[in-house]
Amino acid sequence: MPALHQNVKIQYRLLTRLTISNILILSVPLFLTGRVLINTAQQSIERTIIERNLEFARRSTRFIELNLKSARDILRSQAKIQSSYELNQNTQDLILNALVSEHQIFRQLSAVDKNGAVIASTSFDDRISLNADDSVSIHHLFDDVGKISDYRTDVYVTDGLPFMDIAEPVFMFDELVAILYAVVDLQEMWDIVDENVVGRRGEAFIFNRKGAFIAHSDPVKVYSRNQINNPELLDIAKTDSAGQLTYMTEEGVEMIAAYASIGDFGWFAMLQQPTSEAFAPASRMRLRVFEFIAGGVLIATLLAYLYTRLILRPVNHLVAGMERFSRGDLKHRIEQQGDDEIGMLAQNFNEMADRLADFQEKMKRTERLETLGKLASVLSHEIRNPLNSMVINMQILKREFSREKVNKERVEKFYSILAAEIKRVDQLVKDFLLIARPAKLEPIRIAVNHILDEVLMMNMADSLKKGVRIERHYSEKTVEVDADPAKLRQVFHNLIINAIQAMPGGGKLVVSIRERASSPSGREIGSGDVVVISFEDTGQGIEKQDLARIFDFYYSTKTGGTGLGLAIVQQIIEEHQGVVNVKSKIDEGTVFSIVLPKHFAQEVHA
Amino acid sequence: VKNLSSTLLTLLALGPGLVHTQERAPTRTIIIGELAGRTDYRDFTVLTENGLVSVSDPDVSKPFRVLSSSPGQVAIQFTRLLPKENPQGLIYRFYDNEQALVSALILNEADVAILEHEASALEVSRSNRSFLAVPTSMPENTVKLIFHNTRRPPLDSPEIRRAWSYGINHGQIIRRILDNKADLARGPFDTGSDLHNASMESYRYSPRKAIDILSDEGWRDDDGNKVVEKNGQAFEVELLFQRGLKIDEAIARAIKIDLFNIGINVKPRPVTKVELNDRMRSGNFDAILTDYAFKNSVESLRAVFSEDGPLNFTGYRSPTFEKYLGFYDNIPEDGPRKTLVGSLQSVINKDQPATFLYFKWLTHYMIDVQHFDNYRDEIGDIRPFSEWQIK
Repeated sequence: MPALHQNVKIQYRLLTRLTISNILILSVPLFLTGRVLINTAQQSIERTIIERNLEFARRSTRFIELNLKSARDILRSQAKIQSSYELNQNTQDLILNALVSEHQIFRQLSAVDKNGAVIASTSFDDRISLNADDSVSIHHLFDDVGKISDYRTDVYVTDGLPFMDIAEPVFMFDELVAILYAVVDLQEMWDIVDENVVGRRGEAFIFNRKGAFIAHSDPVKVYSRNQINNPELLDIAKTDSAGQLTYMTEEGVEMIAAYASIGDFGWFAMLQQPTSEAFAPASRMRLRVFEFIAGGVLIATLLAYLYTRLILRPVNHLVAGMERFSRGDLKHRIEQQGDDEIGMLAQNFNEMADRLADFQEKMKRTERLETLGKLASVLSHEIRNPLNSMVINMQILKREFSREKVNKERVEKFYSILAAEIKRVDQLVKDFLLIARPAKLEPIRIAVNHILDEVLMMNMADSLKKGVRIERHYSEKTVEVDADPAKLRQVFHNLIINAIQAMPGGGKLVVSIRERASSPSGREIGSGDVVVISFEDTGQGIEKQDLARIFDFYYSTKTGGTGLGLAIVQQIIEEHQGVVNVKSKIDEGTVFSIVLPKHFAQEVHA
Repeated sequence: VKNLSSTLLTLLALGPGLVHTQERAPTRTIIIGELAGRTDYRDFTVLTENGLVSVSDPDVSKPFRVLSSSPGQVAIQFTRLLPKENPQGLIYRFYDNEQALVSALILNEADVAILEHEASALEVSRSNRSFLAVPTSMPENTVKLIFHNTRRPPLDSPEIRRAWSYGINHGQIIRRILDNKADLARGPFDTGSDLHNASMESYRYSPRKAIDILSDEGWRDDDGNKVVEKNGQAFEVELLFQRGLKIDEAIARAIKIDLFNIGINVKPRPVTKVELNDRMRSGNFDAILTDYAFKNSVESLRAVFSEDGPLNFTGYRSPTFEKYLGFYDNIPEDGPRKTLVGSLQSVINKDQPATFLYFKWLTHYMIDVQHFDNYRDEIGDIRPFSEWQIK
């Protein structure tokens, strides 16, 4: 029986292992390919995004440089006009106003002579300012503008807006006679910054080496004079190049940024975007590929399972056949499916089964002869006693009948002894025949509780007479098993008789039926559900040394017992592929439990 | 915002400003940004349900009382008990120029402001998402014009004023500065008014005609400095406008360029609103670029252009105008009266005491809609501040 269970386990393990191997064979290349694909695509997307941002940053710087260069060029041209033509103040005023009107990058234009006198200006105020804080004298300013090519001031903020002043010298016959001074409105750059914002949460800005914002896609940061204080960004300001970096903001958002320096202004254009947003396409792609791999693995699993099932079908067939054989159906042979390895195995198995069946038949015959020999030996010993008794009693009877006056009482006494001995011999022979030539087992589907009821009823009178109370601990619900009803009756009868005889002074016999799944250990019985029928008496119990022998032939602890009752019980139950267990305690009682499989391995008549 | 206003008031009160009263500002207030420049608070008027009321008005029955005041701001409290969701008072904060006001709105230093320049309104709403730019129709007959001082040469001559008007490229101002969002003005009443006279001269830009008129009037550039002279006197005119208004500054610059082309040297001069009003009232000016809202009645014309008109800043005197006004007063019938109003406009159109530039369509209320509700009525007009609700 445990072998059957083991077979099922092996079958299950084989299916599992083969399925897993096939899944792995299909999935691992798929997974590795996906992984390589993901990595390659992710790197490609990230590189593209970084390069795009860098290009945007460079483009911003080019636009800004171009804008500022245009402003410078306009101013330079105007300075040449100022020096080349002797224009009166009104005309100069007009030209400067026209320039301011046409070019919104100029907030104010002024021409000033060496003494600080205004030659012309677009300012409508009496007093004009030539630098942000008037800290530089006009003479110094002249010196600076004369010496420094592309003179410009630092960025300064007025009413929240950033400005920068630029100036160009006006020469007359190589003599510096005036400077043309322009207030440049850097708000013009804001539109350029806005155009280069990438993504929904992206930012674009321009900052100087001090970290002050000159333009920002969030203008509040310029208006409120926010400054960059992130050391990583400030480090950029020490370089004059373009590049990209990833850094963490104070709010804990990881940003990917691209930057480029703007000419020699010491300004930097930077585009930044949270990495989560920037690399969202890569994440989406990764998810897609992952879904593809997951789908592939699922399909691979299904295919692997189906393929394994296909491979294992003949194996299962083989295992089922072996299982059936091992459960006792020795006539069963495995149908050979194909000429492959499994088919050959089936053929070999069948050949082995044939040999095993022959061998078993021979073994049975040998065992039977041995048993019969042993039985005959015991029987001859057992019969000899009653026969001796019968001879003695018959001699006594003969002597009594030879007397003139027959003592009728004595005759009857010896006659009854003689009859009892004959009856005993008859019983011995009957029992002997039960064992020596058992009737063929003819199992059918029976209600075991009904059979038990019948036997109990049959023994009811005897039990009442002996003062034994019988308790039925089972319901009226039909409990079916595959069994030979006549033999099962015999088993029940023997056990009930034994129990009643074990309680000469009266007692209680509890008979119970319960259904349960097969013992997990597989020790008692094979696979499938079982029925357990118990007979629990309150008799004197069986000594421990006797328990081991109670199922032996002709072993009895009772006076007048044949010693075959329990041997017959065990034989019948084993014929039914069941087991008989016994537990006993002295002065407490004995429990016999019969465990019968509900479904018999042999063919059963309904 | 409201708590901050209280703190700011205290700080301002400690400063060297012109502080007359110091009371704790109500916590539920609206801070209104005013493009008025730093001003003497006594000149400031508050728009109430009863119209404009001066903060210096001693009338105790006025609907508010001044809690504190300085050149930088005025805080008032409504005297009428208002529901708790309505503001208890207003703080008017003054700014020198439009950009400073824009900056203040972006940095949440003010809750409400009116911005005439659409670009400024867009900048605020783009930079500070709390603000909604509510385009609001200008009051009827609100015209941008240049008042000429008819008492001072050289603008004392109607011919010269006509030359002046021909020399200004109205169309280009509307196109380039106002982005075509205005209607050309010929007179005080816009085309939607039943009093509008469509037959008036449009003073389409004609620099040649202007130069000819000037020449006929004796104004020529004899010294070649591009500015015409007469009797040794160069044609130079000071054009006043309110400091800080981007549009007015751009218009003044455009006018300077236009008129220089006909030999007139215009000197635009930005002044504070107070100075502008002072000089307009006192007649101490050559020309003033400003807005004026004419009421849709002949009385509005009378007030501004009649000899005895209380608002006759230009000093304009025209017997014809006065004659027509007399007729108008003596004729009860509507038909002839309407004709007379047309004639009055024709007289003004011909004499050009003012150069009418354009009727602007919209102004922009900038409202912090995250903090305020119920700021518009059913037809979309802005409600009085006392009816606003604080969220």
